[in-house]
Amino acid sequence: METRQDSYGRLKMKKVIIHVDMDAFFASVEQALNPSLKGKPVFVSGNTARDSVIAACSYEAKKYGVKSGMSIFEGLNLCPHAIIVRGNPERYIDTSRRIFHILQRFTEMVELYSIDEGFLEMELDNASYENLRHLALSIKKAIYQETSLTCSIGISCNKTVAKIASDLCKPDGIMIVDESQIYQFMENLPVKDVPGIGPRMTEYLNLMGIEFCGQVRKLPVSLFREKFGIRGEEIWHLCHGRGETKVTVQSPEPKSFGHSYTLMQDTDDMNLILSVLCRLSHQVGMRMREEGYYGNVVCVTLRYSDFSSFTKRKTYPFWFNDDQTIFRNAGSIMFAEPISEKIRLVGVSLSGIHKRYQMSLFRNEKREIMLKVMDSINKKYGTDTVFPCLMLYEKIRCLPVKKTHAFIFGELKKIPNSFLSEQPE
Amino acid sequence: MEIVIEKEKLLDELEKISKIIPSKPLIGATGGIMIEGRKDGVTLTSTDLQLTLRTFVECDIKDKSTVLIPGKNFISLIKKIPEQQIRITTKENSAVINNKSFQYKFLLMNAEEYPKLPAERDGATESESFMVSSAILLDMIKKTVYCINPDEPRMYFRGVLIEKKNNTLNMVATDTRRLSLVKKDVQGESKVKIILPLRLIEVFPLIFKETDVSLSFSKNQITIKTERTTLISQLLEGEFPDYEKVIPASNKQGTAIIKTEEFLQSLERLSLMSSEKFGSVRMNFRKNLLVMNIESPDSGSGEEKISIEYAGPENTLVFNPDYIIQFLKTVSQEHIEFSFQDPVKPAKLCGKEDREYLYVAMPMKT
Repeated sequence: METRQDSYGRLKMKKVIIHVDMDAFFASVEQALNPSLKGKPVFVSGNTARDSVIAACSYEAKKYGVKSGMSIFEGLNLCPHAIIVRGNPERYIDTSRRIFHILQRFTEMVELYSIDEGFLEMELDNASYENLRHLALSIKKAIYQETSLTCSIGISCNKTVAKIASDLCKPDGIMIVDESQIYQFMENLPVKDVPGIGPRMTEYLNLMGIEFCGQVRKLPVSLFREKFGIRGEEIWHLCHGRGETKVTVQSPEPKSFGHSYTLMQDTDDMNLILSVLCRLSHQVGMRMREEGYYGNVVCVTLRYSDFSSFTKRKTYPFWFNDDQTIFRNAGSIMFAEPISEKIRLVGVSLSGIHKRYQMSLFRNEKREIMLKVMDSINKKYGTDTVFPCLMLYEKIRCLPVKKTHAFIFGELKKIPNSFLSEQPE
Repeated sequence: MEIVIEKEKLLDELEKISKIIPSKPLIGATGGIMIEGRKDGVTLTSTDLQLTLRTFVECDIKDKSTVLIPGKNFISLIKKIPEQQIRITTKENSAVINNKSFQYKFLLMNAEEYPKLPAERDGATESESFMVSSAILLDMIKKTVYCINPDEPRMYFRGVLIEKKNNTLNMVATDTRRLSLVKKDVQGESKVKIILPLRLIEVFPLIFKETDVSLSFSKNQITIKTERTTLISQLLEGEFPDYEKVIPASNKQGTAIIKTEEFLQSLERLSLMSSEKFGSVRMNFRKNLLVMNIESPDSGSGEEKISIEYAGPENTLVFNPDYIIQFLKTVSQEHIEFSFQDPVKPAKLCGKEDREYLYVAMPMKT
């Protein structure tokens, strides 16, 4: 862990901005969910089966020079033994939300800046270096304990410097920059490292002979205003290490939980579509149970091969989050109208989200226990360890078969008609 | 065929027939009414493939035959005819309705395309049938039908269970969150346990009023019969869950006695404050006092206090107010008994003087 020492023992800061940035977020989430990926180079591809771009990669892969945005082909040239994982945006959103809740324990003033980074605003009585370092360590510890993910933390008096600091200490680092140190801190910082200055602006600045922030400070603000307008003025301030000192607090409460999937090939194989629907329902259910939410509005989206879409939702008078109920209801919505075209994309979401729910008279306690056990197994050994049997169809048809354990999900003698009327077991 | 028929008599029966004719028939022929000539009249038949209704109207008839006439238009026309006597003459492929001043000609539908209808169970033995007054059935339906969730994916929950053992007839409906059970004394040795579809339950009160009906049943079909009318319905398949298991035994629980009207009005006021998502009323039972409150982040909050008879320990349960309101509206008793055990077990409600009507509601988990 790298920290940058300062020459003053005590820092004068009272209000601090803390920037928490997750390390290789998507890849780390996949590694945390599937322990067999830990310590290995992992590429996360787009969530559709047809994407061939690396959306994110683990630090192990970054060592080989792999960067996000590369094509998988390019990435494999650099790192041939990398493992490619299909991305699960919904899973990342969930993890992000969980991290947000952890951060909220430290202060109410939390801004979720993007999916994998957030700003905290805190007033401290004693903002000594040791104190701040201790605070950063306890944030890191809390996040690691609950999500098995590491993050980098930058602390300063404004968002700009805090963000630069956390970028510089990646991965798994802490950097504290006091207000009095900012001048020195920015002096030799390349302009491309300043958040808000993109590659094109960097190019323009480089053409002007500006490479470091220190150089900007020697030029008058009027020059920047003339050349780049209001934006130029902003850049001039950014290069001085000035930035927003307030965070914007927003609520991260979910409005819905949903998953969608673009099929490998457009298909009219109803069994395959049902199997995908079953998997998506399983994923939605698992996420909702993990967070303790229940929903009562099921929405099904189908996109046909001609890109026309079918979206239909139905509100139920009760709340649920078990895979089977989601699947049954989604199925009955989907088959309410005939499907004439080949299908390209299937999506399921559950909204009407609430933590309070109406209990059932005919509670299937066995099933509740089973779901609990299934969830904890999947949490420990990876999300696809135990799953409804119907999902096997897709796995066999479309994906390389992995060692798995399937369970029977009610009795599915005939598909698609009978599953709507079978009794859950 | 030529018939002369009294308009009122015909309309009475057509009213019933119109309840069965599907508004968007899957098979074109089911949009028609089958008219069959009999000795002293005609039978009218309509079906939506799940329900089939046959009813007899007396009239003067010559040359018996069978025709299929377009349902909707025929009924609408008969309603608009001012005369008391209606003459209908059928020729090869048309039916003519006429008198001195008007003449209408209906093109007939092909009677051969009419689906084959289920046969009545005429020879039903005593163990397969019983008689019951339709007033009793109507009352039972009223007290159970609101529990059915028509969107329930499990078919066997989209109807009411009828169970007859010895001399009691039970009718049960549930949407798995609450359950309603009505018991009535009915004579007869027969034993039966069948699930009637919601559609039959909805149509029954429109067709049978204030008469005794005979019910006979086979494995997948029920026939409800009066002197001139026969209604045949398919049954719902599936195993209805063991409802007696979810009815709590009374002796374990705390029981409050509450004035029905007062309780109903408080709950109705409280439920005004609930948006759909937060439809839950917290009920706090104290010694001789019930405190109810509702909180909704969208619309505000409310609290009601009513005095009750209750001597047990203090207890708080959360319910969907609509579940309780629907029971209170149908119970027709001055006082009700509200028995409960704990916040995650079902509560039992019934009239203080009326043990025939029992309601079980599951609380909400908060």
